[in-house]
Amino acid sequence: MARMYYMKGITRLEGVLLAALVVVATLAGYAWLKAVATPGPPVQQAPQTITIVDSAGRYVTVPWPVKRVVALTSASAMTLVALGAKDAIVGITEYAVSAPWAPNVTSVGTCFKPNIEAIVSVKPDVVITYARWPKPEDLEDKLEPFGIRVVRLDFYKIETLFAETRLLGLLLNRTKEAEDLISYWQGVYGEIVSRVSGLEPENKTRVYFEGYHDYKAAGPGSGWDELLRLAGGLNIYADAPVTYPKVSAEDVVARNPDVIIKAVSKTKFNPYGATDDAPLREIWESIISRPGWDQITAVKNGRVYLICAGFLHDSFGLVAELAYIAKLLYPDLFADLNPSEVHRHFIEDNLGIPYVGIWIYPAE
Amino acid sequence: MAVKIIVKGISVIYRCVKALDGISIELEGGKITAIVGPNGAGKTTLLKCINGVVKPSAGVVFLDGAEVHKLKPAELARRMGHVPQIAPPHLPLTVFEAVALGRRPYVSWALGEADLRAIEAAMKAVGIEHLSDRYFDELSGGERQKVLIAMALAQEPEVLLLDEPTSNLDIRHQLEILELIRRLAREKGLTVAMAMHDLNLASRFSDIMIMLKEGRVFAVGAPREVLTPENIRAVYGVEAAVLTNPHLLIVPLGVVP
Amino acid sequence: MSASGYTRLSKKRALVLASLALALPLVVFVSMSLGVLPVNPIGLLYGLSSGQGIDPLAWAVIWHLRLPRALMALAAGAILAMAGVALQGSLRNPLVSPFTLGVSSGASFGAALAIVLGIGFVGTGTCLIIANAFVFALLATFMALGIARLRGMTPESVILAGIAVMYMFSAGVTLLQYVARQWELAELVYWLMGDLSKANWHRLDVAFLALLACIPLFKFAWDLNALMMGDDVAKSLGTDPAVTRTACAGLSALAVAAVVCMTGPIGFVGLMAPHLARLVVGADHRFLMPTSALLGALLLSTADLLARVVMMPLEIPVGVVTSFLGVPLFIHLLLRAGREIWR
Repeated sequence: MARMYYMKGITRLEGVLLAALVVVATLAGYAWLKAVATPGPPVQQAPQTITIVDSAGRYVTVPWPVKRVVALTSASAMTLVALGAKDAIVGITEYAVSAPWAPNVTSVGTCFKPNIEAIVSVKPDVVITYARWPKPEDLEDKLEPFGIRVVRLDFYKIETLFAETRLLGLLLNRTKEAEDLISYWQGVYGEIVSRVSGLEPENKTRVYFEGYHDYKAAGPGSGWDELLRLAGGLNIYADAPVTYPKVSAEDVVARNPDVIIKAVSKTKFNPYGATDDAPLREIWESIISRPGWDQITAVKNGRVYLICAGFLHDSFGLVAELAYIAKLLYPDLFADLNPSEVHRHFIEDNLGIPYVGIWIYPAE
Repeated sequence: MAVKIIVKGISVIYRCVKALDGISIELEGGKITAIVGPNGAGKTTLLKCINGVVKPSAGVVFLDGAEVHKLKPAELARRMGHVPQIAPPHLPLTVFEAVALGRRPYVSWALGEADLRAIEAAMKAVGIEHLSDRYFDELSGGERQKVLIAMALAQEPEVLLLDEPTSNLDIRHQLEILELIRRLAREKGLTVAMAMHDLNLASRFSDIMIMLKEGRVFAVGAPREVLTPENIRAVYGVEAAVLTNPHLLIVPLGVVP
Repeated sequence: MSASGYTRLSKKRALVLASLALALPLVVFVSMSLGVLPVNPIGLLYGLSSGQGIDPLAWAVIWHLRLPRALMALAAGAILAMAGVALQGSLRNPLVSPFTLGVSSGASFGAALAIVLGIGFVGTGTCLIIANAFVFALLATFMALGIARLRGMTPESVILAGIAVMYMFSAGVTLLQYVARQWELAELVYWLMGDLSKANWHRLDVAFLALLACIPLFKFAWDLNALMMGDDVAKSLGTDPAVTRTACAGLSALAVAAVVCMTGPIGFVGLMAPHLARLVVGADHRFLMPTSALLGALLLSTADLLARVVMMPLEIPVGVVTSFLGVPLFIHLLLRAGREIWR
């Protein structure tokens, strides 16, 4: 019986060579691709440039004046419109592409997922996005071969809003419009802040501020917490360990706030152009009928309010929102303040659309 | 060329249970040895020890003078073929591909001329060339068993171990398979060991019979000598009559209380 | 059939392989031509070859954006598919995917740690995330294999250990999601969806290295074939099941971790490509492995192309597209009473 130890000979050699050939060919092809790469198109040097520091603390050199802008955030787009630079917007975030105040331009994705090709195809001078989002690897690095710069400005925090607006005005050579904007809004803001500065802690109104989701309170680091502080209120969850802590109905009862405010998201209720407040009423009733909440001071005194975030929680609308909140917290202190008028200024004078809609429930 | 397997004093301990206890046997080249015993006597374990699949806790197995556990697995696989009791439930291969598995110890990638010839020879010896491009899952139990035997033969082994080769077959296939095995042993001089349940078939088709009881060798010898009513009573706890008609026929009569 | 019939079958299978290989550059070419920016690829090629000027913008878009992404899809798809085949074969289980050993949940946990808490091993920002994801992916695999080793490296023990490890790290990810701040939460959620858009030439180098790491898997083709007969018979055929399993799991984990740490978890490709390949070229791993790799590359490239193009300028996460493509395919396979699939 044959015990065969097969000498592999030619067949095996051929096979090994073939496999090696395939591997080498693939590697060589890949290396060739990389080597043959022409280093991107030469970056057009604009006749004039300006170097600024943006909100992310980075030095950015951009062509000046900036004529074409891609706004990756609604807030920056709103500010551009408020500056009278609506025509400068050549690409806008998906979230704002069909907004009534927005120009009729193409969507470039969102600030979470910018579409680089879309941005590149509208040939902007700069792209504006949040300081922290998206990451530089996903935006600056990808736009660099195309010579497009990114200026990071937030426009969603009151603290940085005015300086950023000034910077943006400078970039677009619209410094006068920027100063006009800033002087009005800073006036309102300053007035509110100075009035509450004299309040003693024990006299401050204690507030439970709920975010878009049920029982998710606005904790430290959230935009609303900042507004509450500026309005002189005391956030009962200012000491929470996370930004949006999930709270229990009992806990709120135990903390017994004086005022309850809930933010309603734009997707749940679009306040712009709304005429019927029934959906808001439903939400309001579900809040006051939460188990045991009839014991809360705020509920007993009828100081439960809904604020609709759409067209309010962005750009200079934040100051209008601050006005609303200040008035809700301290109606006597701000008897002469008319938040609707302030808001109207934002919607009509800044954004250029009629002031129609319902933003506060129950309405005053 | 007939080789001899010597099993010397092997013991196997599975989780504190002694599956095999000091077994010493010899398997002659060119002869068929049947290993019988009740369930749990250690038949399968013994085969696995001879095969090198299970490492005994004590003792050695010699294949033609070489210690089985010192041999490299591929080397061992070229000399010993193992036919399992039953194929895995799903085998998405054609018969040719299944038999080709037997060439694993010889190839590193491609099936060369010699491999293809060996596969064809194995299928021919077992008589399944006509099934070559059928899918394994489509075959009947008997045909599957033949394929498994062909696979072991494709290894071109000197030794063939079979674990209950006929337990799941009808009487025709039982006879076919066992006659095939006997023919292979005689023609190719293979050393064959098979674990069997069926005492009648085992006695008819084996040259030497080893009866195990509780992990020990109870009796060794020609089937006629081993299959006595006394042995059967002692090992199986069954009262049986042993007849010759013309082959050895064991008729179980009743259980011993 | 006998030997000549078998040789003919082998030639047919080789033909299938060749056609799949040819389909690859075709898919890449189509991928170059589609996107938000209209690109005329024929014009571009003509311009390149004839030496005339080419539109620098189109060229830059193709070179910097589309090409690295398409190549990454090819590499990642091939790696995931190879890993899928190796694991399905070594564990003798058709439901196994490259993520069964906890690679993806480990990577997710590492990424989550880096994103939410900034804890990690090297670098900052993206580097931190990638390194973390890689390390934890390998850690998860080692844990699973280590536990399985204690139980003799049987297929069941490997799978169970992998599932246990997966649940553990998934729970960690959920916890981190809960404590995450707003931005970090969004970033983590997007990472978990799987994304090829961050491909660049540097990452491609890593991906190609990972592809090279898959090559040793071919050495185990016969062992995987033998394992089909069960561990015991495989041993008698000269294969060591434990070694095969460890090598396959280890190499797969290495390659898949390298991919997943850069792209996030992309599901279904590693599960589907081997099954499809089995339908086309049968269960012999010498054909199955390269076919799976090619099919995986094609599947992922197509899925990524669709993800990029279907809702322009919005991009659907590629993991969503692979699942939407994969589920009908999978159901079709389930309903089809064929001999090729394992039921």
